[in-house]
Parts: sequence; structure tokens; C-alpha cells
Amino acid sequence: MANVRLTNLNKNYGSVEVLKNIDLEIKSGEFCVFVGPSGCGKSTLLRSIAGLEDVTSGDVHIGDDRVNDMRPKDRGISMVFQSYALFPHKTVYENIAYGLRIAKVPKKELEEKVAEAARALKLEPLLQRKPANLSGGQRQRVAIGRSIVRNPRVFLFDEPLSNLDAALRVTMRTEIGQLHSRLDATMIYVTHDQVEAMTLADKIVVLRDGIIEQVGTPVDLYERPDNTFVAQFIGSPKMNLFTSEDLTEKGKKCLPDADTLLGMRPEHMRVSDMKNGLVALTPTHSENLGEYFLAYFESATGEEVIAKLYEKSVPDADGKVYLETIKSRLHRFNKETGLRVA
Amino acid sequence: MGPGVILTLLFIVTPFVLSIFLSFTNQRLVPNLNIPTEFIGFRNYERVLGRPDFWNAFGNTGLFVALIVPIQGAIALGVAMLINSKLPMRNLFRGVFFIPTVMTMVVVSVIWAVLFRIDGFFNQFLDLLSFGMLGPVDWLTNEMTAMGSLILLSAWQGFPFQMVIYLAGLQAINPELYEAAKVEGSTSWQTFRHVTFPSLRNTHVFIVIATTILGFKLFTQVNLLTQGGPQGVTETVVQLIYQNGFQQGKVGFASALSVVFFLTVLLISIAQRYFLTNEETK
Ligand SMILES: Nc1ncnc2c1ncn2[C@@H]1O[C@H](COP(=O)(O)OP(=O)(O)OP(=O)(O)O)[C@@H](O)[C@H]1O
Ligand SMILES: [Mg+2]
Repeated sequence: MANVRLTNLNKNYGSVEVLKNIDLEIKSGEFCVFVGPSGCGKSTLLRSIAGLEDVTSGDVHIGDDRVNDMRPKDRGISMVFQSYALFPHKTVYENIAYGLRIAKVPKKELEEKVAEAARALKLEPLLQRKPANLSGGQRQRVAIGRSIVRNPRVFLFDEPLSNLDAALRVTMRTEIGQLHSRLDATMIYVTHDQVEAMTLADKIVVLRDGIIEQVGTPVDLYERPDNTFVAQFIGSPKMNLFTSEDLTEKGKKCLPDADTLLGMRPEHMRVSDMKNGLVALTPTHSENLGEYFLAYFESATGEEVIAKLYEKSVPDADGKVYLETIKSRLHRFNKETGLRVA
Repeated sequence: MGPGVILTLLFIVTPFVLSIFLSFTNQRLVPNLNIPTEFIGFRNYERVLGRPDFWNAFGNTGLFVALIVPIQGAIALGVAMLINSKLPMRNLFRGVFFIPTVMTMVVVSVIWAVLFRIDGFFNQFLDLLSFGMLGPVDWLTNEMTAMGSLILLSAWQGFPFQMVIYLAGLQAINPELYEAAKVEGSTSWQTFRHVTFPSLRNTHVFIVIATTILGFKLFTQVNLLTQGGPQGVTETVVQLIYQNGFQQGKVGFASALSVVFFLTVLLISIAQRYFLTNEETK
């Protein structure tokens, strides 16, 4: 178990800057999740920690060691890959034992470690099978087994569940969470899936174009996003942003000036009357999801607005629907910079 | 009947059936009016199996195949891995390495005949390596070196074909396997042994069978460079078929030779396929 510290990290492919001035500290025992749109550099950042990519400049520390010039195997890390990367011609047992054999771990110790991992991951009946004869979830467990037997200081996961179907993803997500609490290990986890990020993470790192947009707990990111990018990236459907032209007189009073955007999450919006409404919207259509409606509107400036409503919205006499939300659920951002206004 | 069936019948099945038919006759290339063509039963086959030069040629061909398959395969895999690595200008190399196969064996044989000469490249090289103590060797007429020289030449001419197939095989390997091996601490050799080599299993099967069949057909370079000599150490089965059928005109006998030969190659290929693929599904 160890902390991971990245200082002023840069990574270029030729003239393309993929990671720009990354500073990040991941505490010992923390579950840290990297999220961000496709191509933002999540994998590159993870692979720089693993030692599968050389960084262009800056330092990577794991524990007290500066590991920039260390090979992956000397860094005390293990990695679980998106494709599982199991050796197809080796049995489950040999896959799990691979790193231990390479490290010439004594036979007895090796057998004990593999047996322990197999027990923990419920792989005991499968040890003599080849990966081709396993289900996706079982393969993923073997990959995890291979990574835990070496007692790494840091576990790295690159979208480990993205090849599984939805139901299995939920099960495996829970298992990875349990693994984290049982091993009390430092884990760094890349995902596209917001639910994975929100449920597993102690700390979420939101990346965009090689830059860290915000670091914080899931609750932080949801309740106090630093900027419009994070505000709209975390949460689904994404947060609605209104300019002052979209707002009613009452709504305008929530803004300090006309250069500020007002943010409201779809799930916090309620139908109100003309007197109390913060925004006046033209309804376009709605989707009935049984438990709730996803109501689609057009704002005065022509933007699409989505609200998660528990009753069907009925337009007022003027053809508009008025929506409101409680004060503490309002977000304000500078129109130019996108930064949160306190 | 589709055109595929017609073409197969015309160009593959018919000649083969014809040679089986001929192998039971005393047919000659140029008919001799004094000896009418007639069925002679298994006489040709008895002669084939009874002649020491058949067994000699058969042994030589077997030796050639036994050596060319691993040697050519190893060269092909080695070069394929080199080209597949992140080498600068690797596309250029891909083209360059393919040149020998594009050249016909006749041209290659002529070039190598020059290299093998008493004052040729190999003797100069040997001279340099041994500080003048060894050589010169007349590579193609020395009983000890003739077969080895042919193998070297053939491997050089033939490896690009296998190389391209290995290259396709290498590119189909999941790159995350290499990364997993790296994270687990594999050395390059261990990665080769545990990831690259076993992942190419199906490619190996194909390469071994294809090279075996190609190897058994050894003829052009022998015919051009050694004519089976010295002392018959480079005599091959196809060379024997050629000598008997075309030079001596004994078509019936040559047909029997080719039928025996065909069945042997077929059996070996089937056996290889059986043993090599069976291993995989264990
Ligand atoms: N070997 C490479 N050469 C050049 N550019 C690369 C290379 N590897 C990655 N990139 C670029 O670096 C950027 C970041 O890639 P990376 O794989 O880290 O993204 P990611 O956030 O993991 O995306 P995804 O969510 O799709 O996996 C991308 O724009 C990608 O095109
Ligand atoms: Mg990625």
C-alpha cells in the first residue's frame, strides 16, 4: 500500500500534448477514479503511472520512490486491462501464478497465494480451465486474481468492466468495491461509467484534453462542480444551464449579474406556477419512464432543456411551462470562463 | 457445375487420375513401336520400392525437409518480429525482405552459384573468419557441404512467404498481452516464450505444413546447381521423377514414382495436422 504523487507531469506524442501539467496526489488506500470524455488522456495517465508509457517531463512518485526510470515490474503496481489480457494457452492457475513464477517465488508460497486468491475470487472450480472456456465475468476475476497475488502497492484498472453486460457490470462493480475494502489497497480506476465512478470512488479526477478539471469526492463534484464542464459531465441527464434571457423576473433575481449562468440539474426541477417559476420553457415532448417523466423543453434562447418530473407537465395559459428548484440546488457559473461563482 | 468444379476437375483431378492410370502401364514419352504400351500391373511400383536410388532420393528429400522447416521458419519468424517492432522505416524493410520471393528460383540459383564459387563470397568470408586457415571449399561439389548449401539458398529464397504469414499472425496478437507480461515482470525472452510463440500456434501449424509440402517439391535449385550430385547426396525425388520421365522417357515408371511420392506427402501433412492441432485443444 502506498500513495501516488504526480508532479507537473507532461506527456507528448510528437507535437501532440496529451497530458498537460498534471499535479495529483492519491492517498494511500484511496480509491481514485479517472473520468472524462474519450481521448482526454485517462489511459495515458494510468499507463504513465504503470510505466507502460514514458512521461515527457515531470515526476511520478509511488510511496517514497521516484519511479520515472523504473520498469513496470519494479514499481510495485499491478494492472487489470480492458481486454483482461489473459494468456490464452495457459490455465487459470498458470495465469494467476504467472508473475510469481517469473519472480521465482518458492513453490509452496506460490501455491498458497494462488489458492488464497482463487478462494477469495471463487475461482477454485475453474483453476484447470483455459480462458476461452470462461465467461466474461470469470475472466475478469482471473485478471483480478493475477493482479492481487503479487501484493502490489497500487492497483491499476483501465475500464475493467466495459466488456461486460449491464447486469454483470453491477455485480463485478460491487466485487471490486469489496476487494478494495478488504485489501485496503490504493486503487486507480479508469472508467467511462458515471455510476461506477460515483459508487466506487473516494476521489474522482475529471480530465478534459489532458488537463485536470476538478478533483474531489463524488458528492463534491455533484454538489459543487468547479466549472460548467464538470457540472455537465457529472450527472445524467446533464445539468441545464440558463442565461439571464431564459429566466423569469424571479429567476433573474437569483443571478448577481447578466454575465452569470444559472445551473439546475434535471432531477432537482419542479413544475411551478408563473408567479414562482424561475424559467419559462416551451414543452416539446416527454418520455414516460414509468417511475418518472423525462420532459424535454426549449428555452427562450433555443437550447434544449431536460427535466426529470414526477407528474406530467401541463403548459400554462400562455403555452409555457414554469419550473423552479430550491435555492440550495442552484449553481452559478461565469459565462465567459465557465468557472463557478461562489 | 460451377466453373470452380470444372477447373478443379480439368487441372487437378484429371492429371492426377491420369498419372495413376499411367503408373500401371509401361507408357513411354516417345512411343517405341517395338514395345507396345500395355498394363503391367504393379511392376512399376515394385521397381520404385526396390531401387536404392529411390530410397536415397527419398532420404535426401526427407533430410532437406527436416532441416528447411525449422531453419526457414525461424528466419521468417525472426525477421517478421523485427519488422513488426517499432522500427523506423519498417515499411521499407517489409518491401526489401520480400524481394527474394519475388525473384524466380532460377535467378536466385544463378546469384548463389556465384556466391558459392571457389573465389566467391562464402569462401572469402570463411577465409576472413579463419584467418586463412580454412578453405577454400567447393561448396556445391563437396559431399559434406552440398546439401547444406542448398538448404541455405532455399531458406533465403523462400522465407519471405512464411514471414508475411507470421507478420499477419503477430499483428493479430492482442497488444495488451505484451503489456500484461511486462507488468508481471517478463523478460523479452520470457515474453517470446509465453506470449508470442504460443499465440502463433495456428500460424505455426500452417507454416510447418506449407513448408513441408514446398520442401518436398525441391527440384529447380538441384537441377540447376548440382544435378543430384556429388555422389547422389542432393538427389531428390522430384529430380528422380524428372530424370526418369523426361530424360529417359519412362513415363509409366515416373508416374508410379509420383503417385508414391504424392501419397507420402499427403500422409505426412495429415499426420502433422493431426498432431499439431490435437495438442492445441488439450
Ligand atoms: N501512441 C500514440 N500516439 C499518438 N497519439 C496517441 C497515442 N496513444 C494515445 N494517443 C492520443 O492521446 C490522447 C489520449 O489517449 P488516451 O488513450 O489516454 O485517451 P482515453 O481518455 O483513455 O480515451 P478512451 O476513453 O477512449 O479510452 C488521444 O487523443 C489519443 O489519440
Ligand atoms: Mg482509454
